[in-house]
Amino acid sequence: MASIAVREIYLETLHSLGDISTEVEAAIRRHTVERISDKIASLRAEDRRWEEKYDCSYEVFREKTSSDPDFVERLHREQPTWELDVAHWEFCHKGVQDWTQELQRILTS
Amino acid sequence: MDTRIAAHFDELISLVRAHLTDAEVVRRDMTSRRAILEPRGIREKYTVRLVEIVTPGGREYRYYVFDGTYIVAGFDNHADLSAIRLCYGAEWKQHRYEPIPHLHLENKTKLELTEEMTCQKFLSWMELNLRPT
Repeated sequence: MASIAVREIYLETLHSLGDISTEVEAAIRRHTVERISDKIASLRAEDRRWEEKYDCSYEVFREKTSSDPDFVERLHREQPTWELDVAHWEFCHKGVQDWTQELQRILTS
Repeated sequence: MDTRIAAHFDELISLVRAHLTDAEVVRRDMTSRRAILEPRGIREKYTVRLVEIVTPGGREYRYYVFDGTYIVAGFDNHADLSAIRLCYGAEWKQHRYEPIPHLHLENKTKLELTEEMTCQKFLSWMELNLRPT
């Protein structure tokens, strides 16, 4: 538990709507869920853009780049920035998983 | 992610601002398990892109120098099969997911294995190797 300052105007309003602690907890929970959902949507959209660029899913790309030397040689020639791209792709792909776990943790708490 | 990563990223940004012109942070983001930073900047006629990802498993980096779209130099430690094969030869399959520090040169037509790089080492390498033309 931590203490945070809340402006009087909100406290007065929330007090008239019900128990302040319950109202503040619900508001923070709702806001957190909304922010995480936005984050997941944004990372998913980026994941899809990388899928379109490389014409496959992240898992397929990772499998091909770690098992097919000819595919990697071709990538170096045709998409020379692929290692920069894959850093961002991995972050957004795995980021969706990280935030989804976080969301589940909050929703089941 | 803890405050040490935030401090590490702040330090990286300071280094980039000290060595490059028009330095900007194009991405800084984090989740509970990973963090990414991409600063960019200019040195003479070269565009410099740096990416670092920090996870509980370690640090991945990309430090690339471009002349237009031509890759003058690209240091990274991605598990690149070309580098893994160069390092392990016929045994490459046993090491295919291993991060491996390497350097791409001459628009990725040349490849060398390197020691693990840091942003500071990369910027020093640039000072030595990218002379004004």
